Amino acid sequence: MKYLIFKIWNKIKLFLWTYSQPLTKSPTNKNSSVSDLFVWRASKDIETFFELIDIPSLFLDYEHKNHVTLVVFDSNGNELLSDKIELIPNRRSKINISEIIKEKSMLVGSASNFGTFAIFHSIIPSVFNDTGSFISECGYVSYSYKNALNTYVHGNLEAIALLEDDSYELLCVPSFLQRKFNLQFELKDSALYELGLVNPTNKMQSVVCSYLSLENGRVVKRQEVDICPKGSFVFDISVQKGSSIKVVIKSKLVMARPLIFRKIDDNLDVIHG
Amino acid sequence: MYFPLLKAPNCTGITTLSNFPPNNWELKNNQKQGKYVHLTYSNGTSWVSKFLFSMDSSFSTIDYLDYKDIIPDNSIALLSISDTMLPELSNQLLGLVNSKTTSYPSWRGELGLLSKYDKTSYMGEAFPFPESGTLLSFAPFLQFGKNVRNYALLMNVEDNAAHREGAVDIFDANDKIILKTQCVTNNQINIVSLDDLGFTQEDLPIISSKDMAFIPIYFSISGNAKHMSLEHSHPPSNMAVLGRRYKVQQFLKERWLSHIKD
Repeated sequence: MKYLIFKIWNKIKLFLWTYSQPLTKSPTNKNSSVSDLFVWRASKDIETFFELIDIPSLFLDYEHKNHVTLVVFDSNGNELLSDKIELIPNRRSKINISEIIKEKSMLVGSASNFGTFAIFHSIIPSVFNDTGSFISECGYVSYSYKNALNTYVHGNLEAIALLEDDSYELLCVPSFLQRKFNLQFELKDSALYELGLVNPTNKMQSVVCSYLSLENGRVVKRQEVDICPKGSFVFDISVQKGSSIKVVIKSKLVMARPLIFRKIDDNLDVIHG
Repeated sequence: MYFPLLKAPNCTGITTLSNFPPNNWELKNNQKQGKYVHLTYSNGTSWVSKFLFSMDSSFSTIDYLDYKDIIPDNSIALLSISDTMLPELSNQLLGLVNSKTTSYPSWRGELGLLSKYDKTSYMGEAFPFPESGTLLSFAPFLQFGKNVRNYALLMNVEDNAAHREGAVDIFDANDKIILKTQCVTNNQINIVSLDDLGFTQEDLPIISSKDMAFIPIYFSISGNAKHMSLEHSHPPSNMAVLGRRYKVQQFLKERWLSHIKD
């Protein structure tokens, strides 16, 4: 009897974390195109690129020109620009997101040098509708730092949909309860770490990022921010040689995986946390 | 789950394990803490597991160079955190060596490469592939510049410790003509050079295999080894979300694996 109660209690506990809280909910419209909300950065030292591939052309043969819609949001989730970019079937096209933002949004002089962007494909091959799926862009962003080799990182969260009426729908729902995300990545090696986090829900999210010293278990730094829907924030901490830091992110985001920027001297590495 | 030690030209593999879950809600409170760290490799007939150390609820970094004398050149090196000591020999890879698993996200380690001047990594883990698995990887990762080298690190793990061979084809998505075929083996990180095949900035390289499945990891390194980049490509199912997305992957694999021109 005791075991049965324990089992039921565990199921109820799990239910509280999972009921109506999928990673990605289904877009309202079945002909929607879905994208990750990628983090862009644009500063003197960092540029952001995206590897554009004509995904529909991998499924279909066609001669006519196709395009994607690039939508860029600032750190508060405000739309900075929307642009149609022509695609070349079965080819790769590396687009400089930072340059597009600088050219088209008059961002120069703005306090924000980071934000989010999404890529929506315009053609939806029939296999997606036939299988009840949605075409999704979770591809590859790269960042160049001080003009060195680009460092690549993949997208991973289907966060936003472009509906048939050209409106956007955020596909992530907030958790009922506060969750802790324990980053399984050690901050060490005398480096500057920056953690980019996106809000893919339609509600403002309060996020607390705590940095714990593994030498004594104490919180060495704590940053608390509110992130707007479609917006983002870049947390940062400088780690001394010999230190070992664990990161805990507390929020109502179901998946609070940050993008980790590790800067050591003239090198940048970007890792999907 | 296992956490491989990577290998690539001009650098060494370095893996950092985390012995705590990535979230605070998915695991039951009474679950045992895994603590035994093992290194597992194939000797061609069996999986060999060596106990390395006990681990508390923290991080631990393992360097390939510290164990290079015991890891055979023709085997992948796999790290694990388990609740119990592993048997030294087993014919099949032990499926679940750690009772703790999570889905939001998967339990992962930092898999990295270290050169004299730089470090690059990604968060990952490895589960054994079925022997019937195949590979289709779209790879827009090639970087160009003086002395920049590009590689695909094709990582395979299967349950069976016995070695078997297969082939991978590299071709351009536009004309589908095979530019290179390379022999590969299972239970190994196969290093495939992507340079000198005539790819340009606009080409979309594809790597495929009808013989086995891999996690395809792409690695670029500058001539002086001062800068590196590392990332894996998504499986084709990631081009779809929700629904029967593995049917979408099946469609894409059938289309591309049957269209390759020899």
